Amino acid sequence: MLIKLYHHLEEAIISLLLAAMTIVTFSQVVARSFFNSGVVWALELTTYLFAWMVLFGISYGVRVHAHIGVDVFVKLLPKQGQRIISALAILCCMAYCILVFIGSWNYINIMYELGIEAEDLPVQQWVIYLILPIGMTLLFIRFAEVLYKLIIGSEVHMLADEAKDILAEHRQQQATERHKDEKP
Amino acid sequence: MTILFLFGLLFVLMFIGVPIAIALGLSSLLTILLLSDDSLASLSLKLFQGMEHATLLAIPFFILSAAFLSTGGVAKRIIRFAIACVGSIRGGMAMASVLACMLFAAVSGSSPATVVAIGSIVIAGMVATGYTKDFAVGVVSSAGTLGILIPPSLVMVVYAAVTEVSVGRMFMAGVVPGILAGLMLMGAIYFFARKKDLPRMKPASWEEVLSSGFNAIWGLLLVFIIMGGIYSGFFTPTEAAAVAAVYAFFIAVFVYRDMSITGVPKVLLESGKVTIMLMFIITNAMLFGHVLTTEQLPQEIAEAIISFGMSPWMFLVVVNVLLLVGGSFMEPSGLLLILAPILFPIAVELGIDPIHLGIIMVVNMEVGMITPPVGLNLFVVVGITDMSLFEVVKAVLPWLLVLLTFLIIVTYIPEVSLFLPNLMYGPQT
Repeated sequence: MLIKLYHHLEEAIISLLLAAMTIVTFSQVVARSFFNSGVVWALELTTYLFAWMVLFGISYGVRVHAHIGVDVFVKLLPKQGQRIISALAILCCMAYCILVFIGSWNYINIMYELGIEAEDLPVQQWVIYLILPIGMTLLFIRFAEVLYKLIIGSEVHMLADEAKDILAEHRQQQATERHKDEKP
Repeated sequence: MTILFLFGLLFVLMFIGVPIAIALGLSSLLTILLLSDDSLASLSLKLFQGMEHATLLAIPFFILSAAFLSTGGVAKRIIRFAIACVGSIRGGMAMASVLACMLFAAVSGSSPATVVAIGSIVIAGMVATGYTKDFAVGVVSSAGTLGILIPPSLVMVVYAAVTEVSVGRMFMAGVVPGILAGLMLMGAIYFFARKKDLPRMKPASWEEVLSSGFNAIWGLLLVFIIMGGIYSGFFTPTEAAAVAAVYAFFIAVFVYRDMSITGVPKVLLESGKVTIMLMFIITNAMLFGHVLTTEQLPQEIAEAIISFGMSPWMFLVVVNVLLLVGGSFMEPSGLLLILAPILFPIAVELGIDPIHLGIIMVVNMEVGMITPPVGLNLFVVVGITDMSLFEVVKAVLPWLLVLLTFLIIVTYIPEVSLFLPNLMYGPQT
């Protein structure tokens, strides 16, 4: 129940950040060309919204199998070998999360002590960089979840199957179109 | 030694199934930590700074605008217009498919999405009017690859960002090769059509051409907004992409009404997902590129190549072979991000125009999309027809030869790519 709520929240945050970026940039163009005005901090704001969306969303990407990789070689192995190699791969991913978490945490500490503000926005820089450790924590939890599933023996796949995704989306689209046609 | 460690680690991680983004990032982090003295803090920061690149900000907007207009409804309108234009020539239905792929590709910017949207309609249509299934499948899978060559193209934005060349120039450089590739495919169709006496269709009336054109124009205008806006200097590429996204939303929801307003959150989420996946690779690849530059690897290879007496055209052969082999095992964007930081400085050293190199890389990636084992277009064709992968590969083979010929032309006649950007922006300095 709580997990479902978090999933919805996660999706809402990603969609809203993307919508906000688009609207800010678009209104900046409108303001400049029709009213000859605009705000200095628009580009900086868009950039940070963008960075937040991506770094927050990486863990969502794991949940929906969005991340691409090379799996032709792993698939050649027998079942048991595949499981061991996959576990190893997930552990490497978790190591990555830990390294980036430590690095960004150190950096944020330095920034916190220096107390520097962003260039145009009235926000402390360490607040902006906070998304790095947050994103890495979320990512770590997702990988831990995948590893747990692998150990208790459920079927696990981590990488995206792009062809399958595109086709699934297409079928869904066709289904809604048919639905529309039937409902005059 | 450091370099060997970096690449060894990268390949091991990739082959055991670590996502490309993390394989790039982890191998860079470990290399620097173990063999160099940069701090972990400054490296982690690089992951954030990757996103602060103004050019890359265009990526989510391009993805969003394409998502609004890559619908079956837009595909149908474009196909109707294409048939009205070239249907009456011998082999017209197949040529119309190529034209429809080119137009849809320009709007959607994605090759596999083009194959699915256009292919799911025209393959059945061609078979019904007397073409063999092999022929129909071959035409659509190969014409669908044009998506990444005809501007606006995501892959080109990525290349421009990584190598710091101008996005406008890159887009302009794709125009002539894109049209040439389309004409070559149509030429091959005409040749087969004469030999096999394939059907032609009743010429369309002028009213049909005009009304179908008017119907399709709202989607196609997107391309003109982007290209015109960037070229006139009215927009930056990023702003052009944001305007295109808002325009595409408006057309999809209020003009074409293919989508209700309640469908918009799903499009946003889907585009967000694609952006996240791509940007996570890009920002890690930039970290990887940073390690390469601090280790001076590209410069060393360039010096070795020059002292070896390798001429530019020999280097380009190597580039083509590298990309074709790599491209048949790896996703195009990942491959481009690993190879561009290495190949780019070498090419500059040898006097090859960076824009030309970019187009060569893009065309190689196109070919990679229809070569097994990882040709994405092949898989989606298997999905929309009931053919096996092997049958699809066989059907695509003759068209693969056409695209390879095209690759040779683009590689060895730089003017094909450089003529238009140099004409419009003046020669590269």
